[in-house]
Amino acid sequence: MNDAGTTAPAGTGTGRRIAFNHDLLSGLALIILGSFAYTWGPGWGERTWVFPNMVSWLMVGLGILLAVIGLARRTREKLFESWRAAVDVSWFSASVLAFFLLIPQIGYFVATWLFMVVQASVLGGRRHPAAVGLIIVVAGLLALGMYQLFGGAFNVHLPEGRWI
Amino acid sequence: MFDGLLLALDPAHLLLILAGVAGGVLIGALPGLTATMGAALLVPFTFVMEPSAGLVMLGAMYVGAMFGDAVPAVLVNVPGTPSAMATAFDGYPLSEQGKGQRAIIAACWASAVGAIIGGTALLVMSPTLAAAALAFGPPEFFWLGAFALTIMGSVAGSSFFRGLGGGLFGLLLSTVGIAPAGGTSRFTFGFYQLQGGVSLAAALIGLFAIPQLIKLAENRKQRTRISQYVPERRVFRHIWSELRRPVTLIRSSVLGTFIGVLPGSGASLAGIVSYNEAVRWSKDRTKFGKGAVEGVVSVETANNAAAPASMVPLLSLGVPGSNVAAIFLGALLFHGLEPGPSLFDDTPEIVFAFVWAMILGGIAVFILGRVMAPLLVRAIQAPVYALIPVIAALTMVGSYAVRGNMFDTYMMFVLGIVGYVLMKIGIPVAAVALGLILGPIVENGLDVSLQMAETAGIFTVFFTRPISLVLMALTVLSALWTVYSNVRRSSRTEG
Repeated sequence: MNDAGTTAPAGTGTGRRIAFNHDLLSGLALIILGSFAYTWGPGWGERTWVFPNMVSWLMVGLGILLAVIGLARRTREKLFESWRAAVDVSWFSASVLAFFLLIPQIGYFVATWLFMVVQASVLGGRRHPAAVGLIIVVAGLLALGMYQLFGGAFNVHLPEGRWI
Repeated sequence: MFDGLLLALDPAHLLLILAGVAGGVLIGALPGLTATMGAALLVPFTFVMEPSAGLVMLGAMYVGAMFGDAVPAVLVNVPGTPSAMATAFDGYPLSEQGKGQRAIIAACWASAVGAIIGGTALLVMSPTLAAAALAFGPPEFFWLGAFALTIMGSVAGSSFFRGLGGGLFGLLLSTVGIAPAGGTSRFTFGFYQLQGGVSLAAALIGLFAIPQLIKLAENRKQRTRISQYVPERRVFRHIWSELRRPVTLIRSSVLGTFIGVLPGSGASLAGIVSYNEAVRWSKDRTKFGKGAVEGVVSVETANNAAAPASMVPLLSLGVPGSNVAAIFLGALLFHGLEPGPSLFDDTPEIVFAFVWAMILGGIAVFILGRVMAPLLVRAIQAPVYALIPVIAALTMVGSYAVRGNMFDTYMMFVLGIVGYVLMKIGIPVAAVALGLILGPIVENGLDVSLQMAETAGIFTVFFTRPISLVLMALTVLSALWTVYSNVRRSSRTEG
């Protein structure tokens, strides 16, 4: 456990890279998941749980093996180049989640248009002023095109939203 | 048989074949839309057509969709349908290296060959193949699924044990929902939307696309484009160097045809088994997963051979062996054709025209793919800041389209984040996807076999049936070989 969760000096000098022991982390994840899955079910009594239980036990066994390998090797592999990269990833993931959560409220078309414009700008589009206008127009056309294509041609009606 | 060919070669029918293939490619290429959905949408339009015209178009659409799903798998690492999951293993790395055009053209060549061989098998060996399919019972399906699981060694990446862990996690995910036997809810946590299980399409989009998007966003300063378009003047020479040794094509076609015939197995299983065998028999196994054209060819040949072959039980026995076949059954019945042993005697021209349409559809796929490849590859040359939001929006549509509910989109996102975390700790998401696809096949086989054993009072069902015994031996040998080759590779790396 002495490896996990620690940081190592970055080679690039741009920050401290975040490094963990991958085998140990994977092993712990498998042990936790496998134990949870097994305890969630009713045990070996019901036939419908035989297969999930078998898989759970195998996960726990493999998890222990991986954890032992991890402790024996004591190596660390990087997770992120720097804390800045971890923040970037969190921001991006949160914005995608916000986009998905907004869809039922404001509808697919508006949410997608907004998301595309904001994301394209934040990810680098704002450094190209000439591209901003193009992004706004193309994002609108793409969102509308997708909405029409799926609704009209494939009979898949994308969410319309409660507020708009 | 030749009357059927002449009927399929009718100019109006040829146009319908082209239209069917083009529509199929579009449906396959849009994540979330499957060949089943395409067939369901097209069937009502065939009601106003002549039976031969309607069936010809349906057959061509199916073949087109089986190729179309490779396009997003190659270009943006999002399999259009689950069948193209293994296409992404090598297709996307090729695209990252600026060889996307090569990957797409190889996929369309392989798809054409697969469709032609699968269609020919349907044409000349239908009754024999149907009889062979009937010899497959639950124990055989269990071992076939277990055999396919040994591919985990090929997709494990840097650590075999971590790959195996990913596969087990995928198997566990596949048990979410109502159990196949007994009707018990498992791991639904009170969400009624999970009763039907985790949507496979949504899960695959989440596992493959979301981690890739996050990675692109993370590295956007170092990598401003997904890939650089490199016009390849000698693209055919490169592909020909792979295809002139027809072993991969023949092996993948035979595997795809046979697995396609088995009811309930499907093109996904055919592609996975074929990829595994391509890796196993290759002289340079290290190239797989890093952009091997042979990997793309093996998967696309097999899943396209499986498409026409999956019609064997329907046409010969009247038993639909897949979702698409079930929809085709409805179309056949509507047009007054009764599938079963007498179908080829009662209305030979129409049935043979349907089969020929799949073969001709393979040729149309080749032409269309060849024309479209450079255009498609150029389409992803947009800067990463513009492509990421577009792909993110597509993931939403793809996950939503299958069942029409936002829950699948949220599930896709959660699995995407899980996939990203797994990727970071060195567990390949391909192994998770593999477990998710193969889980139901293995569990159903195991469950029904155990019931058979209980009824018979002896637990020898797995060992006494000849095909089951052969498959079991193959599975054990394949697993041992996988462990051995991975241990040897690890010791070489460390040494």
